[in-house]
Amino acid sequence: MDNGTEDDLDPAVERVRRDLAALGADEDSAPDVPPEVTARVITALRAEPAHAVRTTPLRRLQVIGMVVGLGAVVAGAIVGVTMLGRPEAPRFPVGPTAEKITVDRPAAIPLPDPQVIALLSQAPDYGPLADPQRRGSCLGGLGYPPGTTVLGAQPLDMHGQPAVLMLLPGETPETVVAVVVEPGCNGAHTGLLAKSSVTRT
Amino acid sequence: MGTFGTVGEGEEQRTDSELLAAHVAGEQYAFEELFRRHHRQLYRLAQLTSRNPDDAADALQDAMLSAHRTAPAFRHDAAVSSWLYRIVVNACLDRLRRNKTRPTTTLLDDTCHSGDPMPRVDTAIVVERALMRLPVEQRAAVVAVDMQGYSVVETARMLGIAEGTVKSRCSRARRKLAQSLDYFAMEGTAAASSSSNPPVMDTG
Repeated sequence: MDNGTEDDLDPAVERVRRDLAALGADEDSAPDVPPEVTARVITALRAEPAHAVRTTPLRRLQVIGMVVGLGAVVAGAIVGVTMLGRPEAPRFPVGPTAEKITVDRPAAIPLPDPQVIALLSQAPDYGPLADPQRRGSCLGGLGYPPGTTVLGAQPLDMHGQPAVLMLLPGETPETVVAVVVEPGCNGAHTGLLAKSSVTRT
Repeated sequence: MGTFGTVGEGEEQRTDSELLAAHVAGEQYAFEELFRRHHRQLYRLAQLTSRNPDDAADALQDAMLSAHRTAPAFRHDAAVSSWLYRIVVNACLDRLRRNKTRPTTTLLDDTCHSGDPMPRVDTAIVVERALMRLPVEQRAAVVAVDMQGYSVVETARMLGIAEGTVKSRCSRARRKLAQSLDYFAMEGTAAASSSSNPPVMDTG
């Protein structure tokens, strides 16, 4: 009786798994589709209404949105008039300035850039993505082709949850793309937590 | 992300994300263009996880209609193509789960690459042909787990079978593939494979 443990250690089986993972993202080798199959799908798609013309459910939502929006405007006007009428200038608690809350990255990588770049000169530590098939599936889900070189990697915490940071080739030789994904990242669900482009120093 | 789409040969083409966004915004033929861009791989996945070509075509159509309707909910946390692949595989696995007792028609490799008598060394083609020779139950399990990266738990739930059954089907499928692809001999593990399992070839 086969069991998973034997499979995991067998190089031939591991090769099969790698080839299957590559096949899952290899569009170039996919065979032609029978014309009648393509035609029937296209016909079915064209019979579907476009999203913008589905007015009935949207109308209700639009009304709700308008009510909420008008309420916010009215409340804001009331507050504004009230504040203008106060004898003293309002005191607001000291908080972050616009400069501080403005972020350069769409989602913050929980490592400063120098530490991210330092990973390029270290052996990658893939943590829970050590399995090449899983890692390849994860990269495929992120949109990278099979065989993409991971330039660096390190497990880390993201908002108190375990995650994996990987460095991938950027659009220019001077940049690398840093992605942070959940440990269970795979082609079906990457669990992308953060992504940023970092310039090599 | 805008870099995950395919690049046209001549003119600059929109990325997959841009096409999907255009579709959600109401552009009539944007989703059709997206489907045409990936339809070969999508149909390949449908064939690999279906009992017969008719089921594959039905599941592909159902999946594309589902994707067309649910596109506004796509979170862009994965490549658009990966999202489409998942919807197709999900549709096929669901169909297998609902029709467990139906007879299977093994998809012969000739139906996949008909009219191609030339021997090819392209690994992808060879692997695909070997996959097509597996029973659909093993094929679906190994496609879900090894090709699409689903967990054993997810695959078991989608197929309506026990996790142990998924594991055993994957294990048998992998070993049969390794055997038919001659990987045991290539990797020098022929002695280990022959001692634990006598070679068994599924011919259809």
